[in-house]
Amino acid sequence: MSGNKENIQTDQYLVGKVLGGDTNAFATIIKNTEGLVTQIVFKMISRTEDRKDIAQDIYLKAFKSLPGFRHQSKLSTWIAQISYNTCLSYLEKKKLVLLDHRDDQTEPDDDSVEFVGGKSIQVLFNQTENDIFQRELNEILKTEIERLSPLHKTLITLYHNEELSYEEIALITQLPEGTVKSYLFRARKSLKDSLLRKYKKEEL
Amino acid sequence: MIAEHLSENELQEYVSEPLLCGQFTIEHIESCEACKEKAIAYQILFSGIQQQVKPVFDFNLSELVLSQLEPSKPGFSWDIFAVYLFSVIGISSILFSGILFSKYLSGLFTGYSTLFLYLFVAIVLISLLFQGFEIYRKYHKQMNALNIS
Repeated sequence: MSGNKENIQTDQYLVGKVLGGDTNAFATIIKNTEGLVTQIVFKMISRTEDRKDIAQDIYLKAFKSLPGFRHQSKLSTWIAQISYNTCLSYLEKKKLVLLDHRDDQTEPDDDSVEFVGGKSIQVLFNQTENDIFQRELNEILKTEIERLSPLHKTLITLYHNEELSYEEIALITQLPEGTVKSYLFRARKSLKDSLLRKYKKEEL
Repeated sequence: MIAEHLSENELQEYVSEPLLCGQFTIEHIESCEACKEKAIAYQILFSGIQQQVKPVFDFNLSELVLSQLEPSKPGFSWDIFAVYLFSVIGISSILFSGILFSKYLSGLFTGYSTLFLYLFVAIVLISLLFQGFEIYRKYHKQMNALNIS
């Protein structure tokens, strides 16, 4: 609670400085929010060459709209919302899909998920101590996350990597909280099933 | 005995938000091997996601954006406009009334004792002093709230 209050005070201070003409304060805002913006841009936009323009566009829009920022949310959430909307416009313009329902069609039968290649998952879990397994798992996971639709990828990243709450994610994506939870559930299940199938296939 | 296994939703909740889980879910997972294995699969997945390397741009975003910015000019604000407008209306009304009723003003303070007039002036000055002090205190409080360094 006090952290949130502190955040708002920092935001107010920085926004005040920028509105007073101090562009260095805007550099601080960029530094503070770049991680979150980068995550959104990387997850929503697959074309590497377009990411640079989009990232610039996000901050130029934020700078232009800063006088209208009313501190009703954290500044980082507000900038993340601009990032999400900018990426969304890009996807719409390029006629790219935000949410692919094929993500949901990865339902293996229940028995197949309990054992991975004849090994119980407990054995697999014990193997996590092994660095090679961990590296391999991370690589497979990276590929599987990349295969998800932009929205699912973004939600997974915002929740698990950026550790945002459902409420904050709902604010950023302008989706109802229930919808965010439901999409996250499907994305995680799809990832888990792909992971288990992958291991099963490799073991056979 | 366990009648039904936990749903995928309950399993995810158990792994991602264990504090929000009901006692039934916890007891079920402890006693059911099948659900325990599924929960472990989610644990592996979640920790794997968290270990993913964070992406970074291969250019200096801050420099790139700042090179395209012009210092912001204070824009038009309706709040400030309203303050100025009401101030002008207020001052104009006082001046207009003064001019209009100037012949009555000269006789306004006649007929009162000197002591009464001094008392009146002293009360007005003290009130203004207190109000000024209150505005100054409030201003300092707000500035301190903004000054985080």
